[in-house]
Amino acid sequence: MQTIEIHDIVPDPIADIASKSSEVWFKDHSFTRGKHYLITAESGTGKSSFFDFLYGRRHDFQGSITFDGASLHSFKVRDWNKVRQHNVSLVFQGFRLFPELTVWENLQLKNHQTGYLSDQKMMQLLETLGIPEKKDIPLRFISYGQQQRVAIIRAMCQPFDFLLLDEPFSHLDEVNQRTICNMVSAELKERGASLMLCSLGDPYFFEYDEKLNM
Amino acid sequence: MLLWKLLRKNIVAGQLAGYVAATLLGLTIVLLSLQFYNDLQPVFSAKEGVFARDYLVVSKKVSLLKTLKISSTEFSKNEMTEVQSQPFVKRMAGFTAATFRVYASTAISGKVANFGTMLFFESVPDTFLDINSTDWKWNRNANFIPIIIPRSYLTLYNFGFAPSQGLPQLSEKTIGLLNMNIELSGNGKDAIFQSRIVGFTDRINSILVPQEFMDWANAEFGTGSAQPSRVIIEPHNVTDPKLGEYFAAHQYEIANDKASAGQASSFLRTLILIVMGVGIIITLLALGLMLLSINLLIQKNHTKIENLSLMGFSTEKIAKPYQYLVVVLNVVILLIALVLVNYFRGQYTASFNTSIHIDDGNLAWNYILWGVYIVVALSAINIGWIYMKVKEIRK
Repeated sequence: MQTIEIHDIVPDPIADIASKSSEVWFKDHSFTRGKHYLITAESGTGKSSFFDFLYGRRHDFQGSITFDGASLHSFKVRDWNKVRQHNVSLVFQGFRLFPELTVWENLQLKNHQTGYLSDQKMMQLLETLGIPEKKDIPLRFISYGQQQRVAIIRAMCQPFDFLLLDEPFSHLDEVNQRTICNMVSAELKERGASLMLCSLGDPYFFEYDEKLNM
Repeated sequence: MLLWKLLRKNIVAGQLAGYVAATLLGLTIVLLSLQFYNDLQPVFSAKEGVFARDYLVVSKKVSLLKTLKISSTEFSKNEMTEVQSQPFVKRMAGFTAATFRVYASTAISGKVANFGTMLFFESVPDTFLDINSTDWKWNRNANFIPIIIPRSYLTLYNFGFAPSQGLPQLSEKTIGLLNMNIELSGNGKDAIFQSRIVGFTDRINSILVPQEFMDWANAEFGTGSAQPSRVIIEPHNVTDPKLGEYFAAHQYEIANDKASAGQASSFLRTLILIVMGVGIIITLLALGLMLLSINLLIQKNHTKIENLSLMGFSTEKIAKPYQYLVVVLNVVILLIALVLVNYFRGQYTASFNTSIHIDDGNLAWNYILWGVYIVVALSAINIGWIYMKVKEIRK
């Protein structure tokens, strides 16, 4: 997937109150594979909604979004399954991990779909982020910050053209943030993929091709 | 498998056990009643025995008036037409009685007769007879008359007459080998024929010869035509109560009343159907229980299923562990049900052994197939339901 285009979109619930000066809502814009985008927004301006639209979780928006020219309004469940396995990877704000599975099982559940990463590579990512010893511990027993790192590694366990990060590092210290940003940057470079990062304003430790203010 | 590890949470063993028990009960009852019906099928459809095919032989009651010949036991043409026109009559025919004298004697290899008796003959159309013998044919030029006697006559001879007279007992086969001379006389003529007993009947209490021969012989030796005094009737349904009412109202008698046997047979069938119906209801209730349990389970795992679908898992993949579960349960239920059916069948076969012979071979394959059909249907409903419920969550 090469481009995501938005055309005059706005979430239905905030259609009347959304700011006309937004660089996302009511605008035409194109996101291209390989480029890095920072989307800054204040709380309640709909940044999570934007990602939900791109990930097919919600469809209540006006205007149109297209993936390589195909309108999302025409996407079926099957199409979304394919997108979520191969094209778009999203780190949810609430992680959506499985507390009853171990760290390793959480990663494998995702990786088994495409077999994208080797066990070795997954282990290496755990080591990079400093949680290799948590591998076989059920997720519910590790800290929130550690869970956040698991969620980010899980997002790597599939091929993608666009990586969507929604306030990804809220529970991590600066050292950890830097480590993760380095790891993610390396992965993005290796895959030639795009980054779309939503944040309240913090650019973290990425370089951006374009910054949009919601 | 990780999905299974994830999704098996919240499965309530008690609910599954309830489903297994209830379905097992229902399925066992259904299959057992099918098997039971199948085992009794030969008895239901037999031409002889307890539930013989239902022909009725009807005659008038013999009373003092009739003995004194003031009224007749013969069926007049009008009476025949009236019986024929009754709605319960499928077809009927009158007995034709011989109006000539018959003398039979056994002649062993042409020697002097050592046993002789006066006889009488009657005939009914061949279609009412349960005889398939190729010998049951009369040919004008062959000088041979085939005879059918009631099986009870042979019994009477073997167990009554023969022992008391020091005569040998005869099997159906040996008596069939015995040649007889039959002397017919009347109308100023007489003739001798060869004869043999070619068959036995449980249905008609008379000595029968082919209708064709009877028609010829009555014309040749007969002394006046006679109306039949007995009629044979095939009813549409022998358990029809109108049948009994009609005969009673006209003072007709039914010979060795098969109607009651027919009723017993019909009652037994109805009983089996009711039991089967109960089994089906139990099975359906169990299915309902399972559908509710599945509903509950999927609702409890709502978040997990939602998260899995957000990870890109297809509905089919998420539904599969639950579908496997019910299919495995259903197969186990079927196997146990077949074992139980086999066991209970052994029990009833043993207890009926003295009264009804049941072919104690294997279970009937077509009824095992029925079990498979039922389990496949149950599984299909469950599989469809699970898919639907998972899909609902994805919306």
